[in-house]
Amino acid sequence: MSRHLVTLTVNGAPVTREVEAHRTLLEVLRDGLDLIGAKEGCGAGECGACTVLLDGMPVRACLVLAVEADGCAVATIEGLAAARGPDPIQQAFIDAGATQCGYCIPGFVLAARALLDRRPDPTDDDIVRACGGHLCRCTGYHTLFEAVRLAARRRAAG
Amino acid sequence: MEQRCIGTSVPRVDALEKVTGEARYVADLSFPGMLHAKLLRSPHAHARIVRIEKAAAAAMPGVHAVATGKDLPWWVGECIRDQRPMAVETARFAGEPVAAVVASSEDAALAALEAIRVDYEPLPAVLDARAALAPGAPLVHPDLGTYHVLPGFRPSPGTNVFHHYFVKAGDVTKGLARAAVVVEQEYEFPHLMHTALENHGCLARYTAGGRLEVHAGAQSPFTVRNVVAEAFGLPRHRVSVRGGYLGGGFGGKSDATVEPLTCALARLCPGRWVRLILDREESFVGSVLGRGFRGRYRYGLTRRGRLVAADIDLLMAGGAYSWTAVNILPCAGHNGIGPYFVPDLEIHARGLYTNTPPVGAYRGYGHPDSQFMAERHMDLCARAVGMDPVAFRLKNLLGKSGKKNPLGQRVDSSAGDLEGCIKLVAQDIGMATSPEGIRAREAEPSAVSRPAVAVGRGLACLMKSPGQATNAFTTVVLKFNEDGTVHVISAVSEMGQGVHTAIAQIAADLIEIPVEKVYVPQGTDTDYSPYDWQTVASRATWMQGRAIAAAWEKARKELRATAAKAFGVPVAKVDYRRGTLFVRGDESRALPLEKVCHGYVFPDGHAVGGPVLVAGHYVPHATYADEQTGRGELATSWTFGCQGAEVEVDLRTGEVTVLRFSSAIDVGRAVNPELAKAQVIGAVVFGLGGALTETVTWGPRGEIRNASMTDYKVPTPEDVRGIDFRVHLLETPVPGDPVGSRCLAEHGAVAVAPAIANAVADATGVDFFDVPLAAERVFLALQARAAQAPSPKPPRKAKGAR
Ligand code: FES
Ligand code: FES
Repeated sequence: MSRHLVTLTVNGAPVTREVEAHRTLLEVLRDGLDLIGAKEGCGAGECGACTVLLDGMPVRACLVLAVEADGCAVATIEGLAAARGPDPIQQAFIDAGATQCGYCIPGFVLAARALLDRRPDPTDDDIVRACGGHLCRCTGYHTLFEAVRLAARRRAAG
Repeated sequence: MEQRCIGTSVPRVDALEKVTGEARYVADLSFPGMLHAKLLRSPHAHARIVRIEKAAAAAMPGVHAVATGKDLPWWVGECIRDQRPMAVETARFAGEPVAAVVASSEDAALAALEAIRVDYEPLPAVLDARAALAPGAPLVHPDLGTYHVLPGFRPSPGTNVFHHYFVKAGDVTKGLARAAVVVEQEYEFPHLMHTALENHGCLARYTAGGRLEVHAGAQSPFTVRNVVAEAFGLPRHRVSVRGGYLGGGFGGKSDATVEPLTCALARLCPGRWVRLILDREESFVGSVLGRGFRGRYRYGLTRRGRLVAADIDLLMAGGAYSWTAVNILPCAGHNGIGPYFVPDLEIHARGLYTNTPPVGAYRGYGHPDSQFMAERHMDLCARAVGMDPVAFRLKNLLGKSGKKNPLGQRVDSSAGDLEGCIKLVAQDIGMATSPEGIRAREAEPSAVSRPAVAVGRGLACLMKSPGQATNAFTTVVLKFNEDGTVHVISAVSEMGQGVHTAIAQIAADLIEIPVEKVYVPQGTDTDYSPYDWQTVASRATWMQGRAIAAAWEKARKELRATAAKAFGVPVAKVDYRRGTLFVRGDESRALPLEKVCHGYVFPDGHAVGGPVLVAGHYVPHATYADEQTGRGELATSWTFGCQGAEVEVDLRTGEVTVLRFSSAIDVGRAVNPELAKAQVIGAVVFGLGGALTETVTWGPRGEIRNASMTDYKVPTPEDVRGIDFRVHLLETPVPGDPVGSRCLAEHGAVAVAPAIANAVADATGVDFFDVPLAAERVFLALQARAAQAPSPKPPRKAKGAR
């Protein structure tokens, strides 16, 4: 099994790890770096629970090999909250009553973050598209859409 | 009057942990020296295990143990103990574990699995309930007669029947003979998969002292404790089961699934934590499935549309092991008629062993399964007597009459305003009985005509009672702290339903303190937590509410006794209100809660009373079913409601689009209205999956063919974005109840499938007697009808169809 040195910037801090070629980014985050906020729901790119941001773009960490992420900036859910509390998107998810079991939530929050960074004033189509490929078995999605809308409105209001 | 905490939509107590990723689930746990287990599963639905060659695997690096069923000689099960932790001699479903490896890493365990060789001799399999019932069918459990069975359960050795529940009232033969109109139809609600986002998992360890410690991703830690303690012959105090947040349960984690096997493997590696986390495919093939019912319905009616007789025969394909399925049968059975009065009836519900994964609880526990059939049948009956489906239902409602349900319980209007629910839903979806209502509805944009699209409306009633053991106690502990804050300690699992928030609200409301002063610790440890039977059946908030009221009663008494000493007056003169103890008639003599709840300290330093720590418990009055009639107190609280849909069917593709979905449920009192509504909408979408897209499909060898989230189609964001959801929570007071809430959780999923199927029939004139109404099935049915009748009547309500 070949091993490779991989350097990532995880939530702003540089990290170097030696990993086997077949290790996924999700495995390295969860098992190697104890960042367990990204969840495994399917391990096959079907559910979105493992979503993290790679250079600002949402990716399925279960489908990305750690070696592919070499040199990239990785943002996980743990990196979003500041010491003083949740970031505004997280707060919007709380206020919109969007969490139930919570297993899908880190993925949706990060998808929302990537969307709002790209499009501060998203249409409903944008929101549904950004949520596309993310499954939630609890909420029925409407409160999740509302959370993203709320976050966008609050950002616009400054 | 002061704002009460019950009835307000306070934010969820667990929301912050969940949005920050701080919340821990079972797969997030790890311990030093932890070992990893992986399983080898049977590819055959039914096979004799001839030989297992495991020596090569055992010799591989990192491997600590390799086990086959023979190495784990224990029995698992509650009411019917018919399962082993792993198959012994016979594999009874495709996906059943036949060998396991415990190794220092997942990779090492997986590599060793590859080195195990199993020789099978395939046996004839039964995959369907009817095939399992047929004379001469292969037996899934030839040794059924030798199993340990609790009283009240009726397996029939020499057949595949593991239980037969029935309930009778009046004389159904005479009733049907007298009926002017008889309507008969067969229905099916096939198997579904829970597909909680979190897979099944467990960690277990045998300590050097011989204690068994378990971290379970399970809804019911105390049930897991009971099952594994019974299996291994351990006293309860030598087993501790810890439970935490669940990434969704929906019934799939309510009994033990992976826990007995994980514990059995941990016995082979004493002192080490053994971790077994299923992957997605394994959760499909190797945990429990839901539903799997067939039913034959025969109703007798008068010409004027009164139900007079009902003859119902239900069969469940219960899978290879029955102990997680067996109690679904009475629920499906006695609810199998829906909330209507029928004087002469007979309902049979038989569970069949089949060579498929075991069936377990699935959101609604038998109720959605049989009520799908009942509510479709109501539409067929209404049509047979030429009545409007709403009027027909209203005419036959149980609650209005104060008559008896199949169990012999009198149900009157205090059980909930079902008539009000029906009217609200009918209004929402344009089935209002008044012409103005319909016109108003049709003027709205969603009903605007489009080419080759048929619009239809349908509704269905729902009713549900918690299906639980007669002694299914819940307990709660109130622990008052030095500053007057309160810990409310409870073993009910938070799996997304919001129960910890509801518990905090109920406690705050009863103790009359701000909700911020109440803390509900997350997580259960059977060593420290007060007993709770199971977090299932929509019962937790309802049961806990009553237990909290009982506990508060005791706490109040203690507080008053301490305050009486402090004031130097008789206890009878001390009262409590809003965090203050005071002398009745002289409110200037008052002490705040915090000065009393940890004992009162006199100015000279001596203390009286003590830290208040009280437990309260609750169980409703329930009995076993009567052997002769099947009647009894099997249902202890009812929640009634109605659901309706307006759908569009694309006549060219068969695609069903839900335009509007309305639910009205009488919840007694909504503890947290926003959470309750969110719960209903979540359940509706869950139900829409089963109605429109989800079904377990089987390959030629009896294996699940669509064991992935791509192939098993749960609703996606795109699927539901356009649906206009309406939720009405009605609040008919519950007489004599300290909290006033009725059960609410699964209810939003109970009547979704029949509402959709009734709406599709209304739109297209095509009747479906099973689900899902996937586009290709609807398309084929439309084609078949077109082929049969060369010049059909245009589909009813088709708008602009050419
Ligand atoms: S775990 Fe990566 S998409 Fe499901
Ligand atoms: S909140 Fe449970 S899966 Fe989304």
